[in-house]
Amino acid sequence: MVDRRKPAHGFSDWAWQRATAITMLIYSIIILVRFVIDTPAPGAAAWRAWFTPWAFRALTLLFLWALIYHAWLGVKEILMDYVHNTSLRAKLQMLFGAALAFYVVWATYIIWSLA
Amino acid sequence: MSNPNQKIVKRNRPKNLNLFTIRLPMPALVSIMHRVSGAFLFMLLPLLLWLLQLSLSSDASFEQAQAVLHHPLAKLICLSVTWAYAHHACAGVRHLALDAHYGLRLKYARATSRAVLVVSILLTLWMGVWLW
Repeated sequence: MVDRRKPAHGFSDWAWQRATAITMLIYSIIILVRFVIDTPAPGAAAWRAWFTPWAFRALTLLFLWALIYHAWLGVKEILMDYVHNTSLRAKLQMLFGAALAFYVVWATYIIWSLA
Repeated sequence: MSNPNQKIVKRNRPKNLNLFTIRLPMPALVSIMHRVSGAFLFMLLPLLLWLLQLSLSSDASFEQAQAVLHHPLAKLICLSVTWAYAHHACAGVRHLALDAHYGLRLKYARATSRAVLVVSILLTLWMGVWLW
């Protein structure tokens, strides 16, 4: 039973989906522009140097977090639409949720180890 | 709600589950492709994170990532990821506009959904030219 006194998750999911989408859009435009005006030279060193500015690393990390949370909301929505068996859906949500939680740690580790 | 004919109506309702005979309107096509591209990107996420990690960890792993990306199959995957990302982003922008009540009329809804298809294909082509 839905408790009407507490706010439902629907609106916050809706709002977070859009907030993360806008974050990713802004980052995508930044990275496209940067690729055009500041194309990284070929080679590992230049590629790593491209990630040296701390602001760019912070933005990249923010982008990856936004992407993973956005993916989580999308996965939940798709499961809700197509998997009608509640216990199976709960299991699939746990599985994909665990994968995405792992990706958060992994993505953070990748960007963190650049410092 | 107490329609005595409800059961009969339900039983006689025509069903058409042959997907090949359903002609989707343009906005519906963009809508389902938004979902498919999102699911596709979700499935490829570990591969993309792995490539990012390889490319940034060390000189040797960077070369390994480069070798992986030189494979024709990898280039094809790169192109499909680009298309999926571009399509998902363009359809997402359209969605945000619809949220703000822009382009709700059928004429504009059709035009913008066609624009989503065209722009995402153009972006993918640009990426393809840049890749090869």
